[in-house]
Amino acid sequence: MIGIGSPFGDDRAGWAVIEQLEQWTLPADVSLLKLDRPGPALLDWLNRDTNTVLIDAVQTSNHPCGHWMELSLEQLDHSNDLSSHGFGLAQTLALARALGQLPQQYRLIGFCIPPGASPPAQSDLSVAAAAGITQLTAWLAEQLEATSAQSQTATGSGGVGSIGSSSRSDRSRR
Amino acid sequence: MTERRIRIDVPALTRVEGEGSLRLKVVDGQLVELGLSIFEPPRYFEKFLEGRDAHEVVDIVARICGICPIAYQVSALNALESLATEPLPHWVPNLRRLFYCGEWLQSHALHIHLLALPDFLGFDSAIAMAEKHPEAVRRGMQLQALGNELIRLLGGRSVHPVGARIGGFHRAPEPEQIGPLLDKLREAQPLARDLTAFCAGLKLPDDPQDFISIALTHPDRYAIENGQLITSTGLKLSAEQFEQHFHEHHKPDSTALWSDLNGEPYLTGPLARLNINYQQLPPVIQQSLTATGLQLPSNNMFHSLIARALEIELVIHEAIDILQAYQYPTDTGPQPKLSAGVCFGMSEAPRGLLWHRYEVGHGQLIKAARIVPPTSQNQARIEADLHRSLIAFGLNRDEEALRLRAEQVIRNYDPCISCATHFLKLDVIRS
Repeated sequence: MIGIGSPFGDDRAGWAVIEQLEQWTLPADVSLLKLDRPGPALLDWLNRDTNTVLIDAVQTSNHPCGHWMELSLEQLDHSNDLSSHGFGLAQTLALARALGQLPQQYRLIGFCIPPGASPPAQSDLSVAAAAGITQLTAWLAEQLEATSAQSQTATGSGGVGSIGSSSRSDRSRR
Repeated sequence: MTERRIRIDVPALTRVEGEGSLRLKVVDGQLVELGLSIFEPPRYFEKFLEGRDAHEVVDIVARICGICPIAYQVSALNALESLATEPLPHWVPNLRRLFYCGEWLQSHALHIHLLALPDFLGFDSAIAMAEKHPEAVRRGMQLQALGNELIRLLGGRSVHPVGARIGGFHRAPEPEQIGPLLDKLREAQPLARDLTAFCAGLKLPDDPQDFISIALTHPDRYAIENGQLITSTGLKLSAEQFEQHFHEHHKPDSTALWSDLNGEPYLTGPLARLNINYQQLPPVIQQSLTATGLQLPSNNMFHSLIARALEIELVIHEAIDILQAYQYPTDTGPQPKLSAGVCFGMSEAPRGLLWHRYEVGHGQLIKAARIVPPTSQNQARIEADLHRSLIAFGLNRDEEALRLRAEQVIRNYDPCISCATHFLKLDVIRS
C-alpha cells in the first residue's frame, strides 16, 4: 500500500490514508509506505510480483472532495499531469510498464480534491478530505481482510473461525 | 512574389523542467526574430527571505527546486558561513562535497536517461525509449536512485533534504551506513563508464559555436561545492566580485531574469565546467575522457551529454574516496552565530553556477537576499545558440523538424525553468 503525496493541504491524502491504516490490524503480509513526490523513483518500490495499491490525490472539479475512485493506467495517461517536473505518476507507471516492472496486480485509487486544494502555505487536510480519508481507509482495510481471507481459504491454511486465522470482525484500532 | 508563411506552435517545450515556449519569425528565408519565453510564476523567494532568521535560510532555499535543493543549500551556506564566528568542523567540507555528489549523480542520471537520450535514439519520450532500450533506462534509474541514497544519507530525505545547517549537519552518518553504500557505489562504477562510452558513441550533431564558458575552479580538485570563478576570457573572480561583471535584466514575455557577462551571453554548466577543469579530473576519469575522443575545450553544445556522463563517473569516484576515508565525528559541532554583514557564496549546481548574496542584520535576521540560478544565466546563450543552430540546420526544413531541433538545442542546457524565476510553445511566422 503506497500513499503518494506532498506536505501541502489535501495533497497529503495518500499519506493520511497510510497513517490511518497503521492504526488498523492488517494482514501480516501487508506493507505500508508513504512517498513524498517520488517521481520516477517510485520505480524503486514497484515489481511484478508484489500486489500493489497506490493511493494519490487527484485534482478534479467533477467529483466532490473526499470522493475516491479506482482508476486505470489509461485514465491516468489522459489526465493533466500536475508535476511541475513533468514525470508524475502517470508517466512513472507507464515507464514501469515499458520496463516490465508494473505489478501484475495493482490498483490505483484516486482521492478527489478540488483544484487549488494543496497550497504551499497549508499543511492540514480540509474537513471534507479528512472525512473521505476515514471512509477510504475503512474500505481499504476491509478489502485487505477480504483478500487475505480468500487466499487463506484457497490454500486451506485457515478460514473464518479456524485457529490462526485473522478474524474478519477484528478491526481493532490501536 | 509568393510569400511563405510558416507557423509552428510547440504548446510547451517538452522534456525540460518547467514551462517555456519559443517563437520564430522567418522572412524570405531569414530568421528575423527568435524569442525564448519562460512562463513560471515568480517565486518571490528573495523577498520572503527578508526578515527570516539566517538559520532558516538553508531549509527555505532548498524548496526553490526539487531537483537541485542541495545546490541552493550549499551556495547559501557558503555565503552565510563566511559571517560565522567559528570555523567549520574539520569533517564538514568533505561531507558537503559528498552531499553534492549525490545531487549531481541523481540530476545528471535523470537528465541523460529520461530527458536527453530519447532525442539521440530517435524516440519522442523516455517511455517509448524504455520499450526498446530497457537496459539503458534501468541503468539511469539505478544511478538516480544511488544519487538519492547519497542525499538521504546526509539530508534525511531526497526531496528537500533537511540535514544541512549552518556549521555543518544536524547529524553525521552512522558507521554501519557506510559499507552498503560503498558497495553500491563500486557496483555503479562500471555502469557509469559504460554510460560515458555509450554517450560518446552516439551520432551527435556537429554544431560548433563561439561562446564564453564560466565555471568554478579549485586548485586541488574538480570544483563542485566551492571555488573561484573563472571565465574562458581570463577573468578570475571571487563571489564578492560577481556583481561587478555579471548583470541581470528583465525581458518582456519572461518571468525569469536574463544575465550577461560584461554585456555578453555566456555558458555555465557541465560543458563549461569540463572545458575549464578537465585537467583536474582524477586519472581514471581522464582515461574515460581520452577514450571518448572528445577534444577539449569543446564548442559543440551537443557534447554536454558526454560532459554529464563524465561528471557522473567523477562524483561516484569522489563519493567512494570520501566514504572510504570517513570517520564518525565525535561532535557534530556548534551552530555558530553570525556577525552582521553582507556575504556572498557560490557553488556549481548540476546545471551550472549558483550565486547567492545575503545581507544579514543584527539578530541574525536576513535584510536582503539575491539568488542567481544557472538556468537564468544561460537564457541569453540558449537564444544565441538557437539563432545560430537553426540557421545552420536550415530554415527551409519542415516545421516538425525545426521544432525538434529547437527542443534538442534547449535540452542540451538541461534548463530548470522552475528555478530560473527568482523571479515548447514554438511560433514560427514566415513571410
